Amino acid sequence: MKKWGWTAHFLALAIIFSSSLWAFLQFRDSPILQLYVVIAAVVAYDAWGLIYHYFRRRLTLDLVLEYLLVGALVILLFFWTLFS
Amino acid sequence: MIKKVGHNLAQFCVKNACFILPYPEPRARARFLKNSALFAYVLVLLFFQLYIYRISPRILGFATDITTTELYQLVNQERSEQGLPPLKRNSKLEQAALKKAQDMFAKNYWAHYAPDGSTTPWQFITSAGYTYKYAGENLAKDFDTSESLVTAWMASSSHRANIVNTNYKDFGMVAVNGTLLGEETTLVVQMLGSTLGSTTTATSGGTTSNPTGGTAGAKAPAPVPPPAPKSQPLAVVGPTESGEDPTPAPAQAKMAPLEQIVRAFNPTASPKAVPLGFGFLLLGLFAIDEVYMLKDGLDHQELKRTAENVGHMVILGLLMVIVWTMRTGGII
Repeated sequence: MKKWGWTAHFLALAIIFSSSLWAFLQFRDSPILQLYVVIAAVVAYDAWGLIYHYFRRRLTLDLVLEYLLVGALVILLFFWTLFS
Repeated sequence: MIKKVGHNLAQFCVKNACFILPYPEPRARARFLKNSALFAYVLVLLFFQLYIYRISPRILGFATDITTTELYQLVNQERSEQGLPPLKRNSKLEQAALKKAQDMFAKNYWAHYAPDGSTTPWQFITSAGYTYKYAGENLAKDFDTSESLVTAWMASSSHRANIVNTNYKDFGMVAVNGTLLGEETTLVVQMLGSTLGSTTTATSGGTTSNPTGGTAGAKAPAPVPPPAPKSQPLAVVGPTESGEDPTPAPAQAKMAPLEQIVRAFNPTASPKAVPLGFGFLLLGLFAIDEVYMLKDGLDHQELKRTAENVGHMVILGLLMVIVWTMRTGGII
């Protein structure tokens, strides 16, 4: 992958995370909307991971599972904060 | 003997290092980071969440660990630390607090005075049969624990003034779940008071008024915010109610940074403890994996994995930031 491609991918990741954080802080008074923001961030992150590794020609089933499991952990841990 | 124990210990460490280090295969994930381990974490978290949800029907969507027994203890503990006598639990004030909470849910407001302009906190107290000489009200919503709620009250000068006010002899508190302003909420109402027959010492506290006299029907001086209703004989009013902002920003307890960190990681004091602790652990494992690869120089295969580590670390870091900044409640 060329350097500009790498930069573009990580710029996209930075945008995903910073916009998620911004949206999360905007919805301070609504935990439900915050939950939607976290789910959206995880979906975007997983999509980013799959696209990134697809372009690097290293998209394996193990890798897809890893991204999905990390995303699931993030959502579950956020759920824990809300519902425990 | 010591040499043998040391040797065995060293062997044990080397053997088990593979749980946290990519060892003995440098290109493999540490066992605690393999997909099978991640899957196990997901199952364990899922199990605990379903279990907690099932055994705790009292827990609402945004649950709290607040109990009135704890609240009574903590408030009186704060008073005893100030050298003040404890307040007595009063069933009439409890009934008034319950009516106030029910009224807020029914009329969908979050304030000392109802939006209709005519319903005051003192009406709930008198209708419960408590003839007060002094009365006050503290409100809170959406706190996680009794401890954090009382800490927030004590960190607010006006609420603190109510709690450590020597004019009060009795108090009643309730914690009620319901839907307020479209959200599942736990409201805590604290009513404080003393009856006309009780004797009082000098008033303390910043924003409460200090009425003189003491007989029913005596004209009350205008209390500091908000003004007491003229129909009532004497009243020390709720602390910070202005009627302008029905949902003020949550008051944060003023604690030292280290104390905040210790408290956040304490599973008995905060629901944030498990997400923060577990997130920190996973973040650390991914960081170790990354450092281990960097230490000996990355080969082509390992270089491809760094994106995963960095990405996973950043999303876990983001999770920890948002969990840390989540609101813990509001007081008025």
